[in-house]
Amino acid sequence: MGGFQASFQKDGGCVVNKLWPPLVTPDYTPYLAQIAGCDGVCQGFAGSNPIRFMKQYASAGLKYQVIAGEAGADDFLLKSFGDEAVGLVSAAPYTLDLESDANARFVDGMLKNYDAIPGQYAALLYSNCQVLDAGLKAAGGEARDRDKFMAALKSVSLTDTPRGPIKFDHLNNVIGTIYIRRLGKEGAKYGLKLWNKTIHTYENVSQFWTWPEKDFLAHPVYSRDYPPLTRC
Amino acid sequence: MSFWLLLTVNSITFGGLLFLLSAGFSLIFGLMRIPNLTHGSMFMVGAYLGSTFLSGELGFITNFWTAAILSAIEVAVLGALMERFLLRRLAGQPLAQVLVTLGVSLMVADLCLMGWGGDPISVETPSGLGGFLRVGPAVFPLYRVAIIGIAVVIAIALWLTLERTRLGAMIRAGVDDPQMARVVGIRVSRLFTIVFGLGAGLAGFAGMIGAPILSVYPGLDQDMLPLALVVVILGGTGSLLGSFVGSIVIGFIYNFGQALLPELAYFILFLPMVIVLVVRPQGLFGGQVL
Repeated sequence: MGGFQASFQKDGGCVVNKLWPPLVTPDYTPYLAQIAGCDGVCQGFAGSNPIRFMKQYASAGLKYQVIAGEAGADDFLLKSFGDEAVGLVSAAPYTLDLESDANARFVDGMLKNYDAIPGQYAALLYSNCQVLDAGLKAAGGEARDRDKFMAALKSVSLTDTPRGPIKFDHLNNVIGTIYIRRLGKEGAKYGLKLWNKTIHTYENVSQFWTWPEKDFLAHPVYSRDYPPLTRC
Repeated sequence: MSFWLLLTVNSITFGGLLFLLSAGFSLIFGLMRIPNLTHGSMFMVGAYLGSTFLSGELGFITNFWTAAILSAIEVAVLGALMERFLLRRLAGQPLAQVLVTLGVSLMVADLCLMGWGGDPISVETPSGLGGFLRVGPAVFPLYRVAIIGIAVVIAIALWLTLERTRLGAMIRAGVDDPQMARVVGIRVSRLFTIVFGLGAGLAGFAGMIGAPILSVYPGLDQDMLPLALVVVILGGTGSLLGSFVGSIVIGFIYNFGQALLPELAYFILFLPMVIVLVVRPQGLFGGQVL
């Protein structure tokens, strides 16, 4: 959420309020009652909480556009969301609707072996294992020489993961594609009624987004108070 | 203005839901002298069963209210069976009974995970109640207002049962003095089974009633159980009025606490419980010390 706020404000956006419900909140109404006078709401919930949030958001009569990160609109939640989630826009490092051979193979495998429609949690972990696999192969199947294995891991660059091409920066953080999706009914597959449809793609996104590395690392660590709310 | 109105209505709604959950908890606590730690599980099982009835997976389609009543009956039977075949064997050993209920609650949580999977299930708001009630500038979700009505109806029905029927008189006698009740010929053991089943059924019913708001997910049991505990300790065990007042008070503290002092939300939720335990350990309306 800190990253969202920092980038949003850098581009001229204005955050009017920040609310911090506990991670698991059965009823969001006390927080929803405080949302007013804005153009949109960014929710950062995870697990099953986005479902309750979107439902209670709608039933509180709120109509502002909602946006979310990867966990707040994850594809595994699609079967549980109701129509109130239609219009939710999210940014995610994996999207179920990515049309690639690697993703088709992955989704088919998940359906066949686990009878589950995967979301980012499954896809990212699967990609992690692909990286491990590629690193081991590059190191000749030998992980006992740690330095050699680590060097092999760091230089892994893959194109055939479900999330698209990935490689690593010099701090060993992943560089990959970020998909912007809008939740709707169009194009739904695998028996789902709702679908995250990709409307924009950012390629080669690093942990620094558009910030110069030095500026980014000079920031304090993101917290409830950083970045601070600014007067707008 | 509408902020305060919305929160007030929501506090009463949440209080109503808590009352459905905690009325049975309070009666079981008052009569059998044990905190039934499976009560949150009953709430969750009720919601899971109800959502299954609603989905039509069993080959027949039910509407929301039939699903709620069917799941309440099933959970009541489960509760009665548990009392009869597990807790009855440990009669007179409250510690063992509490540990058994704790164990069963963990087992139920895992069984639900096996049966319904880890994905949250969202339950549609019953048809006709999806809209809003407009009062001046404020907008209230109709379903939340309906929950208040349901809670009041159940409260009155329970009150009439306890105050005006033979069964109610026997339950009150059992709460006040189980030994004397036995002496005058009341079959207290059978009463235990009935009250346990009734309490479980109410919790299951509450689970389904709450499902359109809370949805159903693993861990729902452990989210609700502490709330029921706070309500009953605050209101006093075995007292219907106590759980009613306690529920509404906790509903207000829960909602306003989260809105106004989010950092201290849980602290101020449990603070009244601590104060009551120190100052008036029998609870606001309870007859006996725990």
